[in-house]
Amino acid sequence: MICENCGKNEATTVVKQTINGESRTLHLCSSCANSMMFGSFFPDFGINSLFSNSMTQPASTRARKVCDYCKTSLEEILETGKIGCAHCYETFSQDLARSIEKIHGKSVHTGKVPKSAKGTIKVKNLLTEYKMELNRLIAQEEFEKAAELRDKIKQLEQGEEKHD
Amino acid sequence: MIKWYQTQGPDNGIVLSSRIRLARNIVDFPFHSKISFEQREQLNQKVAAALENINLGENKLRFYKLDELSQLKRYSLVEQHEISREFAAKPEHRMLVLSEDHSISIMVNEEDHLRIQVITNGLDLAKAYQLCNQIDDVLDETLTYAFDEKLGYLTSCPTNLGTGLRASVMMHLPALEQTGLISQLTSTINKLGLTIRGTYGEGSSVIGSIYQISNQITLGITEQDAIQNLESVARQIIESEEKARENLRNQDSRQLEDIVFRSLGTLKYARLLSGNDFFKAVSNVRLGVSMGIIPDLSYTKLNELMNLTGTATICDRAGKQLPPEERDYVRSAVIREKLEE
Ligand SMILES: [Zn+2]
Ligand SMILES: [Zn+2]
Repeated sequence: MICENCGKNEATTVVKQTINGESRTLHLCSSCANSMMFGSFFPDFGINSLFSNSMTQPASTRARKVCDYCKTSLEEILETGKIGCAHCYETFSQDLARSIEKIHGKSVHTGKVPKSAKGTIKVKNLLTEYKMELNRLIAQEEFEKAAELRDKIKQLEQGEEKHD
Repeated sequence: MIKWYQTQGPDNGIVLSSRIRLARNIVDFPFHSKISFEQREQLNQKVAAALENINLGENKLRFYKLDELSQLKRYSLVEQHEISREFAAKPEHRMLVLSEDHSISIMVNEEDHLRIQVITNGLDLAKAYQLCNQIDDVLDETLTYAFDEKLGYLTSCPTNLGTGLRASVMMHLPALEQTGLISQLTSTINKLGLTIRGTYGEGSSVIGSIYQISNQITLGITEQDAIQNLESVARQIIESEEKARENLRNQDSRQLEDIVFRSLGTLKYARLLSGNDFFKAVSNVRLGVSMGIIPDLSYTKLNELMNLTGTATICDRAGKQLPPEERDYVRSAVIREKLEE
């Protein structure tokens, strides 16, 4: 039997399809069966649909934005589906946010953290601690100690900015 | 050293292999679409240096400039699921790190700067992740990964953001396929944030009833949860496949035996075996082995057959591109030789 879809290859698979409650049997070749069974079930992650939200913006505002580091424009990202560099994620964060949530259903990472980021997270924790201590010192009117601590905080915060 | 598929793995009757892949990028280098050839070479060197002192026991890493491997060799690696087709197609300024047993492959300058992949035999995602994670830790010692507290590991395509982890299980599902239950399974699987694909991943067709099931979501889920989800779904599929196999046996055990032994005959005696015919036959034989119909043949042997008979692999062994009929002849000879060992 010849495949009922392409009419070219030998049919090797029987596929039962149900459309609007009406089921029918199709004799298909393996490649047609595959694309029919699998192709249609996949959530469409085609790039156009992926970024369709951002596409609704007027073209003029989209075209102007370019990543400072890799010179990728938002248009380019929408066209290729590929991000140009790590900084693009900051530059276009607002444009990408909705698409990212659409893909994953969530927007905040909960998994493994690399060594480099563990550092910043530590500094952040330390800063929170210092700031609480600073408030306590001020409340107790220990101004000399508070000034020292304030310098320390300033240093840490500057280091943090460099890190980012 | 023996290859990963020449061992025994858990649930080998239905699961051929488990695979973990991590996508990683390095700060200060543009992603793949914007990186220059010069920067790619720098990246290759950085990664090679970072892996210089890794301790993997007996299992040593080898480093290859991809364009120094012949085209046949590269596509042979694609057939064995070691590298992606896209990676093989454009070898310039790319590096491949491959462990001696072929269980570890690190693609440098793929769609992401790094694609770290570990394959294990049978259903054993935890083992694959453990090794993948160890390699990732070693690289993290000297390379600085592109990472964002909110978005996780930053990747070239937003579909990999977060953990950058793709876990997949290669399953042999002839009975579910024959009964048509596989399409039902497909929609259930998609609802669980997983996908089921053909033998060679996205957009590929199903050969020899081999399906690839993998996670889809990488952001907002931990590595452990993603792996456990997939593992538990794989276990449920194993159960349904086993039931469907028993149904086949109960329906008509003589017909089942006939199909299995005819296929064994094909493997043993055919003289011109095309890739498609081979996969059909090996699929039936594998089914027969797992159902105890063929008692004296191991999964290891069948794995070897599958890994040695791809078109590029056969041509690579011959050292040249062979015409189709010649290929089919060599394929059948390789199979006979293996089965007689
Ligand atoms: Zn067809
Ligand atoms: Zn950029």
